[in-house]
Amino acid sequence: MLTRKTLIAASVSALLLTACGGGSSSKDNNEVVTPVEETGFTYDAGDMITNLTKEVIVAGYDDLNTKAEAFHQSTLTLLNTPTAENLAAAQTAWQVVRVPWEQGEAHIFGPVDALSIDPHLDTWPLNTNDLQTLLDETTGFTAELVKGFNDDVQGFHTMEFLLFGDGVNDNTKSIDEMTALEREYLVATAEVFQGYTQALYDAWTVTQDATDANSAAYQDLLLTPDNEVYASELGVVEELINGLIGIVDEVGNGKIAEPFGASIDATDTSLVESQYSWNSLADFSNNIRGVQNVYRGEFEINTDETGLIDFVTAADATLASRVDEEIAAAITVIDAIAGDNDMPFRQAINDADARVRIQAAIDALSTLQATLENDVLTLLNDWKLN
Amino acid sequence: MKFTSLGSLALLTLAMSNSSFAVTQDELQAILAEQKQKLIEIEQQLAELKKANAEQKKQAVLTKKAAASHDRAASAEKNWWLKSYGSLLYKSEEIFRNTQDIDPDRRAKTDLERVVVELGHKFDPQWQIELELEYEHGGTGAALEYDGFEEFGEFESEIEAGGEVLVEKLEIKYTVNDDLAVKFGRIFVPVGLGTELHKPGQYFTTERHWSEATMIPQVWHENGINVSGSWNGFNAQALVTTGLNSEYFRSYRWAASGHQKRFEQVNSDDLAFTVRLDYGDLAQGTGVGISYYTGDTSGNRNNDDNIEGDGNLTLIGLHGAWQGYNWQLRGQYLYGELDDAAAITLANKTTPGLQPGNFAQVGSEAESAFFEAAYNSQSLFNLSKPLYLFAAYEYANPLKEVEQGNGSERFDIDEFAFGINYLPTPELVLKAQFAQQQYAQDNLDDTNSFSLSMGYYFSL
Repeated sequence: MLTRKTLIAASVSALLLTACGGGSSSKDNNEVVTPVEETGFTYDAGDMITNLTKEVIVAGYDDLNTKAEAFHQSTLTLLNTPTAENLAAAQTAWQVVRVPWEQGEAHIFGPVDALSIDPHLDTWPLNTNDLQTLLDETTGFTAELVKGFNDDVQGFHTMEFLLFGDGVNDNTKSIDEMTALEREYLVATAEVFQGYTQALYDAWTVTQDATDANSAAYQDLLLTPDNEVYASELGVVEELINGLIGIVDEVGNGKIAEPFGASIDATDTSLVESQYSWNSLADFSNNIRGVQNVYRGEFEINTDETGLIDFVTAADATLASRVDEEIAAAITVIDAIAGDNDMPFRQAINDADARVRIQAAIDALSTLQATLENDVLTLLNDWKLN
Repeated sequence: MKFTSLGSLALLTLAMSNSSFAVTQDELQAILAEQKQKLIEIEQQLAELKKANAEQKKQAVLTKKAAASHDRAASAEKNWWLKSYGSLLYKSEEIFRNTQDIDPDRRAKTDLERVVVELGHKFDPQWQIELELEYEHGGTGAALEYDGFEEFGEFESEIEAGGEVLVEKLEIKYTVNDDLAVKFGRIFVPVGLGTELHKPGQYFTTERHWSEATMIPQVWHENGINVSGSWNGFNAQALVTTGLNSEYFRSYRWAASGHQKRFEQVNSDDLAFTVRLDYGDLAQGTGVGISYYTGDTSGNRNNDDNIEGDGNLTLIGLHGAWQGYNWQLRGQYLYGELDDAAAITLANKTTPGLQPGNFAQVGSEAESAFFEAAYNSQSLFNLSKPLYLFAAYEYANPLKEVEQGNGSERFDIDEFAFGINYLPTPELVLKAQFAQQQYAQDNLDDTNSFSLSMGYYFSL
């Protein structure tokens, strides 16, 4: 009897232990599920994706192409009538076409990457040596000829150099300093440039493969995300967020920090983008305005459109506001680098007071980048797609 | 014999035991004399036996020695071989960060350039196989694959295959007779001296000749067939091999980067034809020769719809080597022409997914040369090991001519080098070199470099 009681007791204990174990284990499972219930959120991204694709990205490439056409026209005018006014108009047109391009760097995926359009348009640094050799040894330039040149002697910065001079002491160039051959090179480069902006716009809106009329417009891949590039809306949203992270990283850690150097003795002016026109701060600022466009889903003229902010709000309204503020703050501190005397970036890196302001911009971009990487991108884990 | 001796002893004992009975003294003495005679005979037989045994042992030792000697002879005629060579480099040099940079930075680097293992097996007197495995830079791998189904064609990186660990050679050789042989499989393309003299002890500079590598693949291997014949000191080769792919031709490497080793599979729509004629034995140190290569390159593009023209590539190489009186001299000149260079440039800039688009401008003509001379100062300084003092000149211009625009002068470079090679054993070499690079681009100052390297070679 004693033995039997002992056996029963042991069996019961074992059962209880097993039951406890089971209970504890199912509790663990609940704990794994619970956070999803707490932070998981639903959001129908369809309208947001449509708006960002059409009203921000495609509208941006449309704007770029239109302004590239206008710029090409201004260079033709300058070629035929080389006056100070026409040179100034072409310089302004260059700065104008620079805006949608720099803003568009917030979403530098798709055809702009796959068709290598980015390096054709915006290779940096410029090969000034080869550019000068071309001007010294070539008798005439056509678009066909320029198109075959390496990317470091065509695109934005070649046209900038021809229009504004070397940028060392000033960003002005008189019409007398500009040769007829330089104007010819400028026109040919502008024509090639506009060909690429047209190809970029067509790839998004007509057909992504110019040699295959049946291939889909790239925008359709985003608008109906059930294809070989984007399996679902999640893929599109991830691409959009990563686009923002990419440009914030490039501006903070590349465009600003590289020429800035670790100290005032370690600056490198040769690494300053748009150093001939002294347009650098406008470039940086426009890069982050591009981030703002995608985040808010609107150009300045639009209001109350849906953007990534709505996606973030669905998950965490406080975070959504914080990101918006951090973007605005980054733009403000970049604009502030110029100080009271409108100091260009290539001078600012060698100015002790300006360096403090530059460091503030780097810090603001670093904060924004960390937020996008750690707080915004990770929301994708908690997003419950319908 | 033993039996007889024992029998005699028994008789003696018997005789002695009977002596007290009827044996006379004379009889006894006769018996004793007889026994003494027997004993002498036995001793003689014993001595002979010992001598015979010693002779037998000696014979056994000799037989064993003969057998061992026979074994050694057999191993000298073994039907397999294992060879290996490799090199390690330290270099301190001045480098330019980009095409606008005219103020170089000094950078030191080390590179485990390569370790090569070569295995061979002779199936019979006529058929043999050789394979060479190379680990470059320590050996990790990445290869490209062209995916025509992805969007509008995409060059995809594959990490798990190819790249820096590669089979340089997989060659089956059929020896028809002493003067004629056929090789096929993955074989070397013998343009210039690079494929002939590429082991660390076969060049004096710390690195293989960069001038050659600026134009054509260094240690150039393709799949194909090679027929070679020799006659009165002349050696002729004719090859048909897979060709190059112009998709990766670039300003600074010309046709070298068109070597399809970056791809998992070698496009073989365009084949190439090579002939080479040598007199003497370059590998042994003295000889001269000429090589000629021609092949189209457009057909091997993954995306060949966006290009007009065959992209025919023609190369001519002159080379020579001489050794004697403690001197060694080597040199080569390479000249190349590329048809449709402008079309290739444009296609490379605008092929979707093909990166980088920059440096797409490709020369329609390119040339390179090197010359090196070395003197073995061993006897001069009364050294126990060879110590070579050498001087070398190299030159390369991958953009000698372009079809459109101007060729950048940044890649038009001359180099003068001098240094030493010390060989502590014939199969180990330790090198040191100082060199100066001069650029045709006139706003670039000369740069200097210092380098050390070690190399080994052995054959089992």
